[in-house]
Amino acid sequence: MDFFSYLVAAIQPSILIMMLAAVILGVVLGALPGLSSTFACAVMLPVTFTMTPVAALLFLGAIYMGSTYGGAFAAILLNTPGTPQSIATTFDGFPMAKRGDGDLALSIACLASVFGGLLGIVAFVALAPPLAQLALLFGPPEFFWLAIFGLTIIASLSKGNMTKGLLSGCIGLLLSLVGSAVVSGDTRFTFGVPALISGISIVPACIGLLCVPVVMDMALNAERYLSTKVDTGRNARLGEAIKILWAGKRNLLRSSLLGTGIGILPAAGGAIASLVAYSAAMRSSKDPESFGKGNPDGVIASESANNATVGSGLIPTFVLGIPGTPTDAVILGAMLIHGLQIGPKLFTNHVDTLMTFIVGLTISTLLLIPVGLLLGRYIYAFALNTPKRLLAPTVALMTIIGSFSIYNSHADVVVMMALGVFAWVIGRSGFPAAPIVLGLLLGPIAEEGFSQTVLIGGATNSTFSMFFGRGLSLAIIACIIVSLAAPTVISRLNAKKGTQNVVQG
Amino acid sequence: MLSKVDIPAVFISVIFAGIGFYVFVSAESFTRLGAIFPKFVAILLIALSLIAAFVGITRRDHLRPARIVPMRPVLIAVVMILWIAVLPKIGFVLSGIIAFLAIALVIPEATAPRTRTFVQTLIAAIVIVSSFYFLLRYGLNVPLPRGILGI
Repeated sequence: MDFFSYLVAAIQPSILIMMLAAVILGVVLGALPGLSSTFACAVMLPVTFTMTPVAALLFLGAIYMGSTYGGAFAAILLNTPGTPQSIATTFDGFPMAKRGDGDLALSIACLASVFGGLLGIVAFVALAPPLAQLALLFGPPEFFWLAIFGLTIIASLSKGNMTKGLLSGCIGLLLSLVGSAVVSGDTRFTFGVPALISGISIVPACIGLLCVPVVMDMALNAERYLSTKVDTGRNARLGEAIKILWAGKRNLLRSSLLGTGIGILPAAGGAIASLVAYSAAMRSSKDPESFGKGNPDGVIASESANNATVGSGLIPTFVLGIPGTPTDAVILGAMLIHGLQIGPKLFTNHVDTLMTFIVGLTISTLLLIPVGLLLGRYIYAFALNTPKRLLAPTVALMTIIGSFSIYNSHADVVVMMALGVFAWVIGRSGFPAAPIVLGLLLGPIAEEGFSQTVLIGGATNSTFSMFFGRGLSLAIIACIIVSLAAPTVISRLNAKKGTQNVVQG
Repeated sequence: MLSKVDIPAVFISVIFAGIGFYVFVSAESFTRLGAIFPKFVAILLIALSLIAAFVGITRRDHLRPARIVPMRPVLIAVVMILWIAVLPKIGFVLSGIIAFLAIALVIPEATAPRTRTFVQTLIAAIVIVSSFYFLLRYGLNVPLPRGILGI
């Protein structure tokens, strides 16, 4: 079969309608805090049992793409990542919404997600086997340094009072220690509570740390929750969004490539990709001080990177049988259920199914444009016009639903609320909550990488060279050093330039 | 008004330092591999807490923290905590509707409350909570807690 045949197979009316419905469903589920793309795909998996293998993959792929983007809605409007991949979107998306640019942020997120998604798919088509081999080169030391690189963002998010930000990040690392240690098996800091043996789940923690303070603060005054700069009845500021994306095209491309590259790493996932892309965008910006205060480039970086991981995450999943993200694990399960062979032979024995899936995934990504822009416009108008006395309890309800639905656990809801009150209390003293989320997310990755490296190094008497002697590790360490030193160097250079300009003037 | 000492930050930092000390001591009972990272985090926590406390005492550009704790946000938290406590006992729908109304009553309004507003809120509570219930229970097969009414 040729490309035209795959296209015809993918655009049959029934398939198109199914993909459109799946994209809409994915966006809606991803928008609800706590209902991640993994949850969306897992819940819809039984629906695919009666479908053909191609239809099943198209359906799940569309939900995956839609829900990954859908996380931006809650991130921008409620400061709560609807999916863990959208954590970095809250850093600038929510400040944009608070100053009246929420519709612009949603439009930017939509278009950036589409671009990133398409690039991830291109990487899958063009580079799947060699990229899969590259993924195998990443070992525990590389994952450790990657987590440290992600943690350096904490310093940047804490401008104004870095100590408090770093302290918050440390609290996040501390929370990540709760439960059974992955490598050693120690049960740590559970205080005899059985529900804590599996640790603190990231999704309820995100909801509690980021959303509960927002709900509580809605009661501070009678002002509207969100304001707007322009009439929301118009076109969601699409033209403005396109101009901003064009102006930030380097950032868009770089972030999409970073998302593609990191998405191929098994278990690294969209959350790390978006954080690394955000950090890189901040370092490369002429105005790094504006990040965290509503800079659209932050939204571009995060959303393009996390959607790029959708396509690239399929590379280790399809080629190696190792899921790139938890959602890929669900898709892997669907493939096995439908009798599809995993591994390099997928590209020979099931090439028709695979290529039709690729074409369909591309169409689903493009469908995000009308779906995302329309839904974004109406959801934004809803958030804008709904009185706080209805919005606050609805959001509170969603926090409870989101926390409960992950593992059907009441304990997660309790943890969510406890962390939420904690974040509100320390937030009033200037301790930010976002670094706590980062520490909690990256702590387990850092510890696992660290412990495994120590184990391997100890067994081979080469611990130091394990950490500092591998090419990929050194490259990541160099990025960490640049990441930490660049703001100081840039600000000193700018100060010097400013002094010179004054002297010459 | 500027204050010489950031009292809340110093207080919180001291508590964090205490937590760090507790973590370090507790890590002594873990295996060698299981204790490395907790000890590292504990040392980092103690060091950063002491620095934060020092900065809070010596830095002179703090705004004086508000003496009065805003009560409405605290009430929201109390309502949510009670909601979570009774959720398994009286069920998702009933607890949700009651909590929805309670939170709505706590939120300050620009205009004086009216009966019509309360009725609108009650209707909204029933519709929204029920919609989420049916979506999750029957659409997504999430086994929400059932209470005395079976919903």
